[in-house]
Amino acid sequence: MRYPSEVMKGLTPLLVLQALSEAELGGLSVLRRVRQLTSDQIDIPDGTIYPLLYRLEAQGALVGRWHAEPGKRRQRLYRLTDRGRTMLAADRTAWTGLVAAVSGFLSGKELRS
Amino acid sequence: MSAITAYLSALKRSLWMSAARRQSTIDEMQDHLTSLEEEQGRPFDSIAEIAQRFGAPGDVGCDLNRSIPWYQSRAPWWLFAIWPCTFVLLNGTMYVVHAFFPGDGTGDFIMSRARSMAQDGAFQLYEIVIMFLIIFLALRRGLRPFLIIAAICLPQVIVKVLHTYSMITAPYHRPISLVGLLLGNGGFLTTYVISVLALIALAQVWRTTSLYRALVTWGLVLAGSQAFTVALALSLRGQMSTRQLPIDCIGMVFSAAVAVILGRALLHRRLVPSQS
Repeated sequence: MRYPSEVMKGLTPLLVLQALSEAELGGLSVLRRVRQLTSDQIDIPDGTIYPLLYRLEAQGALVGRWHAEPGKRRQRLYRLTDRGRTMLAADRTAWTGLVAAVSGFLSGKELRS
Repeated sequence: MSAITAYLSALKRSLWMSAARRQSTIDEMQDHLTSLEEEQGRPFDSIAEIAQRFGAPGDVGCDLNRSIPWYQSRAPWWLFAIWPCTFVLLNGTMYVVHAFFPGDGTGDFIMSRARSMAQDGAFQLYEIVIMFLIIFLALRRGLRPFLIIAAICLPQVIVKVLHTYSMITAPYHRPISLVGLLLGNGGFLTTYVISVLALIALAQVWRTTSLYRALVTWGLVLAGSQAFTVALALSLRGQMSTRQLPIDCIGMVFSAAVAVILGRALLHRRLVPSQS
């Protein structure tokens, strides 16, 4: 499913960081992992993933390396760095708080801190 | 040549960055596309099919529009008072045409860029107003045609230089697309060059003959410029949507027709004074 780009713009880095927090993955595998973890509810466009990976790598959140196995194509894999984990934790806290606030607002309940 | 190879070749041509990073991007895309082919159990039919997932080759890893805030935040205010006015000449017509004949989103690269620019409607309107103000004042004051052209186009050259500079100095993770520079943002560079020619024709004809002929000339030059843009797009991008060409042909005819109708109406209005 494709959600409005305005919503996804801020959310996509968090999803990618989360997917990479569990394993070292390539670009396509990240997309598949996000689809899997969200039960196909969120589908990041193929053309979006690489610019985002390069940006996160430039920010020091990820580090990429080429991986080659005999008889297989070589693949570029990305893994989280310490900085990436810090970013993920901060983004996760912010997102969880935002979801709680908006959910409470939509249901008419006052958010208790 | 398979669709993947053709796509990667186009991508390679369009990416202007360090050789190491470019090769890395190409290899990564190769792996991604081949994996997708294996998954779907058949090869990609065309670049267009790949572009539906990734965007046109020049778009991969590149979003020209992200660079716009760069010079919006750094350029002096007066530059935006005379923002690329000629841009509007061509695309104003194109917007109308594509509003009635939307593309299928694949080969519609040029207009997707134009539309993204058009999202800022107020800015576009501002451009149009400023452009006509400059032309009006220049003509009222009897400036020579080349001065009119200089007044309109010189600032655009500066903007273009700033734009190019912003692209060159962009971080490596934002690959610079040469194709994007030529065709991005509604064919920015192409439109600029062609619009200069259109304005030269307009200014020269306007000074020597009727407004009607001037507008017809303008329309014909616009139509020609669209043909040029399409030819350039086809030559640089290889395969485009088959729907794109007829749409642009309609656009060319539409451009000329609008100019003729508008010219006739204005001519009639000028020659036949109101009875009141």
